[in-house]
Amino acid sequence: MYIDMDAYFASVEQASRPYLRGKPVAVVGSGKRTVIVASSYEAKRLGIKTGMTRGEAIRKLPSLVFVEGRNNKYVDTCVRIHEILLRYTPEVEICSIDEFFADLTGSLLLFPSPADIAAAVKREIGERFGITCSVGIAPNKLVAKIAGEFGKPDGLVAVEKDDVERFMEGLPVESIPGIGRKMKEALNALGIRTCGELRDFPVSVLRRRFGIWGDYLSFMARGTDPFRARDQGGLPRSIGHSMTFEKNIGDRVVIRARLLELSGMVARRLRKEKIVAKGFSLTLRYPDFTTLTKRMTLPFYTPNGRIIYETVTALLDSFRLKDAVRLLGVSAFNVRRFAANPSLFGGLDREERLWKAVDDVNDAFGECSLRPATTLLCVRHHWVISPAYRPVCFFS
Amino acid sequence: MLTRVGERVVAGVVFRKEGRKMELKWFLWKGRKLEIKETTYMWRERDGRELIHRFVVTDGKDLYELSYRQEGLMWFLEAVETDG
Ligand SMILES: [Mg+2]
Repeated sequence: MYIDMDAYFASVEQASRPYLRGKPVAVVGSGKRTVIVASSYEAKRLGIKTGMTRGEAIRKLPSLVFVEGRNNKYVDTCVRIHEILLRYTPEVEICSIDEFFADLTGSLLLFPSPADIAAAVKREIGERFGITCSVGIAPNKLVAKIAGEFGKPDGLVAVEKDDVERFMEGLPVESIPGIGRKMKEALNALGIRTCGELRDFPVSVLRRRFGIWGDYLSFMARGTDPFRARDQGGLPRSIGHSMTFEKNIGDRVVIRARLLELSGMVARRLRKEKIVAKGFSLTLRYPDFTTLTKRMTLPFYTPNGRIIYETVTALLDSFRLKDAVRLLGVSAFNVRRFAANPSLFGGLDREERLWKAVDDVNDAFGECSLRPATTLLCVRHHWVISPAYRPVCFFS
Repeated sequence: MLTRVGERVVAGVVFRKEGRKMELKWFLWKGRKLEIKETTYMWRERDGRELIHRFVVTDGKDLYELSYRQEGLMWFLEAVETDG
């Protein structure tokens, strides 16, 4: 079962503020330069899209109402929806702040049918939060997600095992998650518009054109999920943080200070999730939205903030900045579970202990109570939650 | 229009037996008693170790955001929002 909240942030705001109901609403970040992160169905219908700037949106729709997003509100609601789902099955996966997969295989001994569970979940979410969601039920995650999207908004679409091919047949190829505009155009050029046409297309031709993706496409078109066995014990593929600045930053000293802060945030997440990484990347975005990423893989795994910082500043030094930057991002990839003491070099033990102490202080007194003095060079930034954000359960 | 307030207030709350639910009934602000018609949203936030419960309520006319700090057992009126 796949569950996705409809226009999540905007719906929460409409539920909180009755006077916004039925009106086009856009949720924005708290800074001056933020973009639209979510919009209500009323706004979507009138052409408002995620990622538009305030100015663009106002020109398009003067009656649009802007509200400032409240991340904590959305995170807490996500945690509570997760709790609701856990009453029906222990197998719940949080995919993003407003999407969940619940495996109901084991629940069918206790509840009459998946559709009954879905209806109960929808009712409870509606009563408690005043928002709607769309649910897809199918034999695998791929078709469940497609069914969920198909029924949007406020839908409940159940696809039985024997109906999967028939359900998929008529859908446009871009209903398959992962098929973006480019891939859609490439398929259209081959005369493939629907999943049925994709299914019937010779897989050898697809393979020649798209490599291994050709095989995946053919599988997915008939509603088989090729990524079933992908999950490796819940290990994230990468962990990253980014910041968009109120004012573009041209000064390398300030950029370094920000990288120190970001490296610290990434290291803290690594420590929290008990993983280590050996790949690190630096992303920067210029005011014209050109975005560049450089990566480096180290010969060893580490959770250490200083090493992350040194790696990303080395990457920074290899850039010839052609302008000030509006966004910086640091992420860790190539991760594995933290097994033994990862400090390979002498002298780091003391630093590890120091960071452990910093973590404890921040846990007790709030994020950023204690941080490197260099980061004070920068005024506190405003941030907007990423849709891919997954909350850690801190309310247990 | 949203106006930040950030003042301590006295609030009347009913703790329901069923569920772990708090229901706000009224609060005193500027010498007035405001009766709460409906709680439109509630959520929790962490401030370090402290748990804060936040409520958006309405007296049928304006919206009020109230917060309850669990550690100090204190209620605050955070903001008032009037339509238009
Ligand atoms: Mg959604």
